[in-house]
Amino acid sequence: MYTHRNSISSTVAQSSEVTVSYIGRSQIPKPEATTMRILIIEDDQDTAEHIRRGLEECGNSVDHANNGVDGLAMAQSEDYGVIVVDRMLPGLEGLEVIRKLRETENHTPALILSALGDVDDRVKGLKAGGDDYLTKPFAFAELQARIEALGRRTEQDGTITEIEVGDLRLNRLTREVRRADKKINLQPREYRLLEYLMRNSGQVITRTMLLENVWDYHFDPQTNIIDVHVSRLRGKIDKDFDTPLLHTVRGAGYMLKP
Amino acid sequence: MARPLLRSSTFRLTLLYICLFSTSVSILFGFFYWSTLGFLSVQVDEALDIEVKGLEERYEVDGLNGLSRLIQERIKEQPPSASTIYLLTNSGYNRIVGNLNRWPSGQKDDAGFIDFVLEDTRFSPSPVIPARGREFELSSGYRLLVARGNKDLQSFRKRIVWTLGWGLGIMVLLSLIGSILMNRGMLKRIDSITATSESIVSGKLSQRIPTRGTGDDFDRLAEHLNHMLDQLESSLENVRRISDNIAHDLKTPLTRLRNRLETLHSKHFDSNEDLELATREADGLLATFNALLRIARIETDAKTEGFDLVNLSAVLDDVVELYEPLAEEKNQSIIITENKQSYVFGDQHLLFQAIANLLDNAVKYTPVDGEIRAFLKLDNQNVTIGISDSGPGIPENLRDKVLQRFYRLDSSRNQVGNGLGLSMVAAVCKLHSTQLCLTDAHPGLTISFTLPLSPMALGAKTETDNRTPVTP
Repeated sequence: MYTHRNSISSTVAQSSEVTVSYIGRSQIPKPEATTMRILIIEDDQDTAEHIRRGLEECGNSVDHANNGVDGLAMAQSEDYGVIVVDRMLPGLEGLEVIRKLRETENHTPALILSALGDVDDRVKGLKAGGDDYLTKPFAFAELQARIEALGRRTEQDGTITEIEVGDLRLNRLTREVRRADKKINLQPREYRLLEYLMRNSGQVITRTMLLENVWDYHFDPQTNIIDVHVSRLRGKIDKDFDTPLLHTVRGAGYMLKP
Repeated sequence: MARPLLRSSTFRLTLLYICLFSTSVSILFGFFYWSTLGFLSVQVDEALDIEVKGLEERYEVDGLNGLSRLIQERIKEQPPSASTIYLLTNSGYNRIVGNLNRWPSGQKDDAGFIDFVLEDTRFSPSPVIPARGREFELSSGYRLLVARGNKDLQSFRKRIVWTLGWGLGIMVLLSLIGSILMNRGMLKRIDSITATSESIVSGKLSQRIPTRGTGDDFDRLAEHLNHMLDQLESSLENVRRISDNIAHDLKTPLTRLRNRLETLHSKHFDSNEDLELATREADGLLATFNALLRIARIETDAKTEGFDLVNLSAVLDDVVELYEPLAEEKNQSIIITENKQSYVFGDQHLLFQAIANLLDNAVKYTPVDGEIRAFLKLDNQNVTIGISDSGPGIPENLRDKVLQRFYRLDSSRNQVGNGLGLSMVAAVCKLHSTQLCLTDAHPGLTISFTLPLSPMALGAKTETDNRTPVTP
């Protein structure tokens, strides 16, 4: 969705010395934690197959249900890391599946897939108990990044005060950022950006995920504005150091890792 | 009533009707007046005739003396208020007997009647009474005049005119009042139809015109319109379903294509420039498609369920903060000239999108080293938010066109973008019941829109703003 890179590509290219290839399935660098059991509830055979193959190729085990009723039954009887649910399903609607699941105290992270792309629909999906929402069609990398973020969410401890990635340290109480004991001054938004990337280190974070989680807005930027912000942040945390931490994952997004 | 009465077509029709009706009633009254009076004067004439004949007979029997005596008796007998006039003269018009002192001047008509004016000297000032008399020439040259003052006839005429005048006046007044009341009733029905159609135009397609259940003309009209709306709604629903399907059907293979390109690209590592370009083209197509569908959705759904209290000043700050680095790359400065705390009722994400698109354009069209101004002004009950660039501006005659989908000015064809940015802003404005205002910024262009301040804002101001950025 980020088409208009031309106008700013020069800057981005200069600062992105390191590019991790993350395109397609074969080259996907394995994030440290995971292989997961993933359930896909999707009636469109093609899409389901596309997702299944993609996820299996990165080492996950994938089950598939092609209607809401079967999907709900499977989700209740098996233990999955993440459930991917289409909204429009025969039998039982996607949102209903999640609602029923939540009623039985099952809190398996759920990602809603939908052809409806309104802010409103998104809000509805999240209200029904979904944990993330992705509009069809999507780049596979986007789906994968989000599934991994969801899979990790369950393991994450929100109360940690200090996050470390390599020699980069961020204190969530003092809001102080240091790399190799050198203090780094960040603008408020840069701090939030870095915090989010660090909390999800070792994972691919897409530009939309950044917009939604760091800026709190759900919108389609006309320009690849996120790249500019990330390249500024990169200038602050990577510029004077030998090993880059903030990597551009081409075709997908960014990853912070030592 | 909000509208002037005269502009209502029902009222104008009733006025016309009242005019026609009162004209015909006046004609009728006139006819009545003339025929009544005519009848009365014929009666007078006949009475005069009979009296003259009686007197003539007496003359033939008793001669002049008998006649004189009779006349004197009659004069004496009649009460003073009565007004029969007798005058007997010789051939030289000299009075012999009678209660009129001289022969009246007046032209005799063919039937022997004479109209003259009578002065009643018993009163002072003496009232002038028109009178009508019958003149008769007796056999020996004597002349006889029997006349009657038209005092009764005159007051009768006055009374008729008075009655008819008032009658007409009251009739016109009553029908005016009636027509205003009727008009009000009609307007109420029409207003309910207008209100319904207005809310349908604003996107609430499920609205229907209320009926009274009396089966009158308006009910029938409403039923027909409602039926039409049902059909319209279902066909619109069909169109939407179809376009959703098209979107779904086209977007899915397009995504697959994009993903295949990605896979292919990854197999060739970084070497293939063409593949990367192709991926970007596919992304561009998808983005255009998404934007188009999104605009259509905002426009047709006109959903306001997602509306909430929005801190517009915070949204403006956020957009400016988001775009500042982009502007700095072109060495431009974004200045917030005014940003008063203000809350509106709307969709936060869509408002963000709209302002972001405006700022995106401003950055795009402002030259290097240029200046961009953003402002949020309060006036009374409204807040106006706008962005001014110092770019080439848009000629006045093209300002409407740039809001159309895919419209691009010739000067901006080489710029990146899909020509949907402003259409999106326009759609968001429409959803918020406002419209975009494009004005000259000398130089450059100012694009702004105005929203009503939320009445809930007072309560919201005390609320802590969780958007306040944290300081590291």
